[in-house]
Order: sequence, then C-alpha cells, then structure tokens
Amino acid sequence: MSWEKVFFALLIFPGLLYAVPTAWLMLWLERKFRARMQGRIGPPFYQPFFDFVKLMAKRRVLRPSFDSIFMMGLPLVSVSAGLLALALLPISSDSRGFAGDLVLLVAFLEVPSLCSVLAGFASRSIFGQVGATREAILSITYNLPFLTAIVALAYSAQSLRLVDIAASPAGGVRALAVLTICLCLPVKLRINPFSVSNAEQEIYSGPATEFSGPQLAMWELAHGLEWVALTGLVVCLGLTFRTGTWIGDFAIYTSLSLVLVILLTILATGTARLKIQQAARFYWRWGMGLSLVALILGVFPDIERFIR
Amino acid sequence: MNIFSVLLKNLRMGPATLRFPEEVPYPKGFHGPVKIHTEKCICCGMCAYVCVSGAVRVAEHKDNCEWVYSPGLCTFCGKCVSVCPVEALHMAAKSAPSYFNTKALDEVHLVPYSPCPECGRPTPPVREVLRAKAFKGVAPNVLVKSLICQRCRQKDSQRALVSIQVKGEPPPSRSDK
Ligand code: SF4
Ligand code: SF4
Repeated sequence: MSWEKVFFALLIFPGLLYAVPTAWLMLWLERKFRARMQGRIGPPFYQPFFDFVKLMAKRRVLRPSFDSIFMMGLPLVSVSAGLLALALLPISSDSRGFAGDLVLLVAFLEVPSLCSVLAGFASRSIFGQVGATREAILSITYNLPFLTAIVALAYSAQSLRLVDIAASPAGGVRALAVLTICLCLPVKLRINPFSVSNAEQEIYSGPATEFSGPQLAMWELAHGLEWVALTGLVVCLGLTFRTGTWIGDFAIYTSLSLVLVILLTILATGTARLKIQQAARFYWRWGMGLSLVALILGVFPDIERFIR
Repeated sequence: MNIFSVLLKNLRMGPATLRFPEEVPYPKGFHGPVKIHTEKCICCGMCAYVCVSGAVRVAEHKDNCEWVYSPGLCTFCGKCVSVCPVEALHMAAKSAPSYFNTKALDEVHLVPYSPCPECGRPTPPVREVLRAKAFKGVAPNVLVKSLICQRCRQKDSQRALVSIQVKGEPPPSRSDK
C-alpha cells in the first residue's frame, strides 16, 4: 500500500469525506424510517448534521482536568477507530490491504465499545456505570460468536487478509459466518432488542448520560461511524463479486449498506428491549451455534463437500 | 409477527402527526374557558360565590353589574356553569390560549340593569326563564311585581302589611283565579 492510497482511504473514501456524511445519512435514515413506521413525521435529512453543529457550539461543562481529558479523549478515540476501521474495508477490487489487516479491523471495531465502557465509568454517573457494566458484559457475550465467525472466515480463506476473504468463493462457511456477524450487528450498534447498555428511559442513555456539547457530538459521530463500518463490513464480506470499476463498487456498497440500515431499523422498531440474560442467552445459544458450525465447516471442508 | 404488519400499515398510511394549524378535535363537553351571555345574566353572583379559585367576580354598580373572569386563575371545573340559575354561562369547546401574563386573557362584561316598572330606577334584570321557574302558578297581578326593584318591593310589602293589619282588608291572594 502506497502512502497516497493510505491517505486516500483514510481521508476521502471510505474515510473521513465519505464516512461522515454517510454516518449522518444513516443516522437520519434510521430515525426517519423508525418515525414513519410509528406513524410520526420524523426529522428532515439534514437533522443529524444540525444536531452535530448545535452540540459543537454548546458550552463545555467544567470538570476536574483529568476527567475532561478522559471525557473528550474517549469519544475522539472512538471516532478515529471508526475511521481507521473503515479505511481497512476492501470495498473495491483494486484495494490490496496487508497481511493481518483482519485482526486490526476487528480490534478497531471493538474500540468504540471499549471506550464507551471506560466513558461510563469515567463519567462517575450511576447511570453511566450501570450502562458501562452492561456494555462490558454484552461485549463478552457477542464477541464470542463474532470472533468465532471471523476465525472461521479466516481459516476457510487461509488468510488474515480482508481482500483474500472477500475474494474467496462463496460457500456454507462464508454464508454462516456472515449471518453470525449480521446477528451481532444490533448488539454492536446498541439498538433494539439489544439496546441494553444505553437503555433509554431506563438508565437515561447509559455510558453517554453525563456527556454534553462537543463530547456528545463526538459520541454521536462515533456511533454513526459504527453504523457505516459495521454495515460496510457485512456488505464487504457478504458480497462475493466486485464489478471491477471503482464507481460500480462504490454504488453497490453504499446502496447495500443503506438497505442493511433499513432492515436493522425494522428489527429495532418491531422489537422491545430484552433483559441482559436473554440477550446473553441468545448470543451464546444461536450466535455461538451458528458460528461453531461455520468454524467446523471451515476446518473440515470435506464435511461441506460431503453434504453437497 | 403481528407487530410487523402494524409497522407496515403505519408506513403505508403515512404520519399521523398534525401540522400546526390543524388540531385534534376537542371532545364533546370539553371544559374550556367560561363564556357568558350577558343578556341572560341576572347578576345573582352565584358563580362568584361557588368559584373556589376566585376566577369569577361579580361587582354591582349603580346601573349595571360587572362580570369579571380571569381564565388564568380558572381551573375549568365547571362549577359556576352548573350553579347559574338562568344558564347564562357555558364553557368554550376549545382550551384557552397560553400567555405569559395571567391577566392577559381577563374579560370584563357589563350586564346593564333594566328600569324598575314602578319607580324607573335601574334594577338587576329579571329574565323570563327565572320568572317561569320561580313564580310558577302565581297570579298575573302578583307576577308583575317580580320585575320591580328591591325598594319598591319592600314598599309594596309594607303597604300590604298596613292594609291587612291596620285597615283589616284581606291580603292580595296568591292564587287569585
Ligand atoms: S370553571 Fe370553576 S374555577 Fe373556573 S370560573 Fe367556574 S367555578 Fe371558577
Ligand atoms: S352568570 Fe349566572 S350565576 Fe353568574 S351572576 Fe349571572 S346569573 Fe348569576
């Protein structure tokens, strides 16, 4: 990877210049679609942008200096992790990546959740602490199937490179693994029925309760970037073909991500929040089951051939 | 999967939200601000007497009475409406608009007195409704007395007393048929 390519990926596509507006678009789409399904009007499409600008202009709450470093630093780290994760996605066929970028991607995807746990405790609000505890517990439950699915993918493609995995032939392993990752999306995005950690109306907004102004704006942005990165990951790994042209890949990738946002919104609107035990049971039973099957099929490809 | 059919229905029907000038219809019998028909009021003051929040005040003057109402104090309980003997009060079918100043919506209505048929002095009006209610089955020669002022009424009863007790004449009968 040459330096120009790295900068292009980080700053233009699928990094900053593309990801931030798309993040706002996704946040808007989710809110609008949910509103329409609930018989409300919903916000105009520039609303997330206005929210961001307004939050940025707000006065900062004075806190002890170490606290404010934490409270501004954590959301910033989340935003950067989201951007870095996006830059790694093998969207077009001419992206090369490097050996081990899969591991890096998984790590970056986990950073926002980790930051939000830390932020919940750093904010010293009891709601933040309850939310952070829940986030930490959930992160253990969903990461088990998520990581197993990733391992299955990597094993069956015999590579830790995202491009190789994306280019590997479609099959049972890949389908099951991508399905498991899909299952993990709602909990990673903290939406219903797995909105346990930021449970609004129950513990205000969990780890983000004490955040306001620019800090909250950064959290919102980080959340939007998580949407872009996670839907993008599913599309990149789930889609077996590339058009070959840069613009074609871009169009397919963006539109499929938006479709995924709509599907997730339907799920979120149609369901109610589960208890943390129920969520954990779901992921350990179904998520784990699916990903284990994927892993076994990945390790012993003969089984799949035998079934066929 | 009933919830998803509900969501689909909502999606098809579009938002149920009403844009500003539109509003949800008020239910029947809604307790809005109190309104008065001054041509029915008899200045009896019952409404002011029952109003616990002091939103209605009735002040008597020489040739009219003042009915003062402050929606800012009113609790819209409807008590005044139910006690008014002549049904001069009713409640609007819409809620009162919001104001920063409680006095902004205050209303003052003047109820003019009518002249006494005997002495011509202004006197609180007596309406047909009340006469029909209070003087039911009373002889017409007594019924005309219902319109006279308080002073004339006192004079009248004193005269009657004198004629009975001093002159020994029979009292004007109640049912002079
Ligand atoms: S509605 Fe109730 S509170 Fe309002 S003026 Fe009448 S008696 Fe008073
Ligand atoms: S509004 Fe009714 S109750 Fe009030 S003073 Fe007039 S007649 Fe009496």
